Amino acid sequence: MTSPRFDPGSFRDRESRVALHQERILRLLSPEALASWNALRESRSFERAVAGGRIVGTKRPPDATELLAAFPGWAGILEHERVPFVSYPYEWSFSMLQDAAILQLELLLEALDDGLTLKDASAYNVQWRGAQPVFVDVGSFERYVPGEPWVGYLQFCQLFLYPLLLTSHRGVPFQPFLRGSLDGIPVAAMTQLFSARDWLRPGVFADVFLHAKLQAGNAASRTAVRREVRRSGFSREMIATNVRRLLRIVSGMRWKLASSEWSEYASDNSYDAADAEAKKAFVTKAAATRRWRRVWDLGANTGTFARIAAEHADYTVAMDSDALSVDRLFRELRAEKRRDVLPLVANVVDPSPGLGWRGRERLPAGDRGRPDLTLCLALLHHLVLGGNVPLGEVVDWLAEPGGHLVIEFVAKGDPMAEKLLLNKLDNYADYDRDEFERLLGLRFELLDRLELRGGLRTLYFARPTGTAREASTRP
Amino acid sequence: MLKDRIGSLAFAAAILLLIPVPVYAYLDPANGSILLQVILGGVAGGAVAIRLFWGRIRAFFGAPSAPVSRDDKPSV
Repeated sequence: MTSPRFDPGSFRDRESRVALHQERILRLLSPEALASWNALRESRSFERAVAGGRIVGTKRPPDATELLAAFPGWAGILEHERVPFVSYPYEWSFSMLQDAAILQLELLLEALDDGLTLKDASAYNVQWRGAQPVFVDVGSFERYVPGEPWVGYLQFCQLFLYPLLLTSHRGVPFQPFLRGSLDGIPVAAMTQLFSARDWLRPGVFADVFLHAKLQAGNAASRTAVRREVRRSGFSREMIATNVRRLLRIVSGMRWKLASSEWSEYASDNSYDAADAEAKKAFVTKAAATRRWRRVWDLGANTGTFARIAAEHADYTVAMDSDALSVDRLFRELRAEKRRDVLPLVANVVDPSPGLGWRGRERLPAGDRGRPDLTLCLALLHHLVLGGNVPLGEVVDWLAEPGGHLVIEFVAKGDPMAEKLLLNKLDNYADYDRDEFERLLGLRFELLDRLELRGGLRTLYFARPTGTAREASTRP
Repeated sequence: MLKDRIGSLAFAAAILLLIPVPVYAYLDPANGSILLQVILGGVAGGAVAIRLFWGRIRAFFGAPSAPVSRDDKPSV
């Protein structure tokens, strides 16, 4: 039995910290945070938001006294429902960040109505249950003190508004910016990315340009601006006015990118209708062999196979490096109110690393819960022929989670593989079906196999053998 | 007499507990962002802006200005 420990990503707020104990998610509260929690749980908006799944389920654990004994100095303890798979804003698509921003703003408005506020506005406080955003940082709520401004406004801009503006107004993907800085896009950098021609676009003049000017002009000031403003009569209504304005801006944003290389894949691949059906039948048969706890679909694209797997899984994470495909899948899943499939922007050859303090504040995907089934369909040729990863390394990597595998080998003669080699030197002698099957056999036991398109594409269903039978990569 | 005093003290303590006091969050709201919130605060924001800048004008002409106290610094 492991002893309770603090979550490595929860330390910024000294009043409220998340701890992990076995499979349980606990939250420790200081005396001030405990008073805020008591005010929150009695508020109308909190009960409504939890019932609607917008705030994570939270209760006082039955063994609170024993648990608190392991954390001396804390006044209270709460237990949260587990989110099926933790994800970060740099893995979300445009519409996902937009929905998360709307949730953040709506919760703040509702809290203000109940005499409460949110002490921060971090995008990391939102997680997902499928296509539904869930606010997880109950410790963010506190009693509103009359005269106080919205402390989280700058953070909201940096982590929500600016990334969304960048994508909607400039067409620039925000994910690399958020992955590059956990605090988001600084206001000084953001103002450099826009010009005076953009001033009429919603949110640019006030929230970016004016914000940057006021920040630069007052950053070094020793004037107690916060107290000055309080004494001048700053009010809760002023926060609400600003939040409603931001809600209009965020809700009105659109990502204009009409198409991308991958988003048309479902109707632009080398399969004919009969082969496509055979492929679906193969994946369905493999997925139906048992109930899976967690499935990863790598290169999920339009999500066809993630949906098939989801019929036999508790939770499916559908990952693709193309943000537009992920966005389209998300919007479909949102319309269907799916809670069991999470679409994420993720690139297998450039995966989310450990970030932040000691590289453990935000974790690599594999450290957030490994799959017991991985789908790797029409992806292998991209990793080897496109990403230059040696074939043996890919197989080794796929074996790491220790789960079952459904994988497709696309031979060099296939038009989609040929396309990748059009302008490249073909020095991929290892990319060969016989060699792939040899490597697969070192790590996995084959359960099923199907050839399609005259052998140009082959599907495999395999289970892990646990250890490599011999060195998997040739010298 | 002593009983009365204890009663008064308890009453005062209860009142103090009921009055919310600014306990600053771990996040620095940043001076520029606070001022922008005044500007974006609608009609009420206009009135606050006038009072705020009138206070600064008075301070400029020698009226005593509020010193920075420990209370005004955000906790880290």
